[in-house]
Amino acid sequence: MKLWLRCFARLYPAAWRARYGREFEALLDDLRPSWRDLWDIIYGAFLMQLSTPAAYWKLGAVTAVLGAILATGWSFTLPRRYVSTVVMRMDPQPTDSAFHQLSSIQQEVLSRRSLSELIQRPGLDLYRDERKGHPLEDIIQGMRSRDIRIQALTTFPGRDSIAFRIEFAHSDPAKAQAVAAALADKFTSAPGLEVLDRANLPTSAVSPNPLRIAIFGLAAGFALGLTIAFFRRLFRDRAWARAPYFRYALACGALLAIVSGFASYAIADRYVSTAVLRLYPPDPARLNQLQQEVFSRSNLARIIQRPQLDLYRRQRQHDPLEDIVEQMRRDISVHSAGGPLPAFTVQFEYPDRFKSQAVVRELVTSFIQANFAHPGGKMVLEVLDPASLPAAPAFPNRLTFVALGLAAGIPIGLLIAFIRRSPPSDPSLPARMSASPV
Amino acid sequence: MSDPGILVLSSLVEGDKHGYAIMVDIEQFAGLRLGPGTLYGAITRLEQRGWIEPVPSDDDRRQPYTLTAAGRRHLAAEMLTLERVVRTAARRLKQA
Repeated sequence: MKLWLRCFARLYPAAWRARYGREFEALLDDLRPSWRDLWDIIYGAFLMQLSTPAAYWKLGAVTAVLGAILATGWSFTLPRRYVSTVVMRMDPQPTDSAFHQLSSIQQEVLSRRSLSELIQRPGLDLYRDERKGHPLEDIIQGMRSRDIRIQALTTFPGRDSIAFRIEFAHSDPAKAQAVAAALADKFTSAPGLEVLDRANLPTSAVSPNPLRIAIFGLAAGFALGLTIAFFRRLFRDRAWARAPYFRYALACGALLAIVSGFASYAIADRYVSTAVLRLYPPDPARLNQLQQEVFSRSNLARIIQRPQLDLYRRQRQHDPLEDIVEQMRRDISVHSAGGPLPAFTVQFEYPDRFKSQAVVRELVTSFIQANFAHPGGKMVLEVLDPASLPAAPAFPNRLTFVALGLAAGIPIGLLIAFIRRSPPSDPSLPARMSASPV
Repeated sequence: MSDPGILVLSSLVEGDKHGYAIMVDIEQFAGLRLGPGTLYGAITRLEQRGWIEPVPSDDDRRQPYTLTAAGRRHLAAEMLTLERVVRTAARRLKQA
């Protein structure tokens, strides 16, 4: 045991050992050691290391290694994801109607009916465990927004064609390949579409990447270590840092920041798709009339109830359609785009990013149709930017949630400190104390 | 009453002692056994604050320490505070 104690005593900083090393070893020789002493030496060495000028880097290095070890271990508990890819091409010279048709087919492929059929197809039987605990609608939404990716590729040099890639990610490589192939089959119903690269059988998982996660753990651990060392040095031997007001404010602020940060994950993500249009020559009155038509009850009700979109499905089960239309009007926004062009943006916010994009497309089409049918003469309505496919949710902003939690926690902490420091009023206490014989 | 610094100062009031002697003394008068890491953490801090200092000794390994005047004043101040707390607690216990 004494040998162990001597070994761990070497964990103390070199400068400390130069000053106290001999007498510390003499103490170890004199005492009857126990396992508690071993721990006491390790902890004492750790605290002593933190008191050296290089404590920042030492603590950062220790927490970085711990972070890397924990992150690597955690990465092995994550499910593996394999991605199968199909490359398709539209050829030759695509026309506007072909693009429109492709867009319709994409909506159809990603529709509830189509994905539901794929999920429940006996040969595939996707998400079997998740389907036991979640409604099919949630499974479909997860499949659409997380596992399927359709990306346009650059046009082949010298060819008027458009190519795109369909990817499907799954924990089973064979199922990933089968689903990617099935999605490609659905697209081939469009004229002029051909498969360039068939769905591959993925041999290695794309995620989790243990190396990347370990590096992330290393960096996070290092940052945490530096932060702890910084605050330790800041607060050490400072009277204000020991003041209850400061401690309560800091503790409550940090606690509420963490809680609100985690709580933000319970809120459904909302995506915003945007399109930019231009009415030329500028005519605010005409634009106002177009908006009234596009955002009319009948047009929005038509979009809401369109089978491929099936918007606000849950709310429609208990709320009248009139309320749903009002809700949709609140989720739509039209703003001037600014700049030299008389342009304006149309935005729609929704929990499903594909539906958000599809709705903005519908609204743009409605604007064009309303402009075309307008009796007040022909004006040019140009689509400067088509409906975007939002990549990241616009809400909730997790950083804002954390900042709000921190801001709310600090005054609460101060209030708690004030209440705890105020003794219960007892008017007789001074008299009793002075009368006491002790 | 478990602050290692106060215990070490209280032990050194009686006379100069080296690490092991301090540890044994504290165990006898306080019934508390300080681990070697805790003891030398306290000794390091107390010496840095100028409350104790090493004294020459024939034994080149066992280094005795003595209480400085500043250490004595600090201990006295701490004892006054402790005494007030103990007396107040005792009085309140009687009244309860």
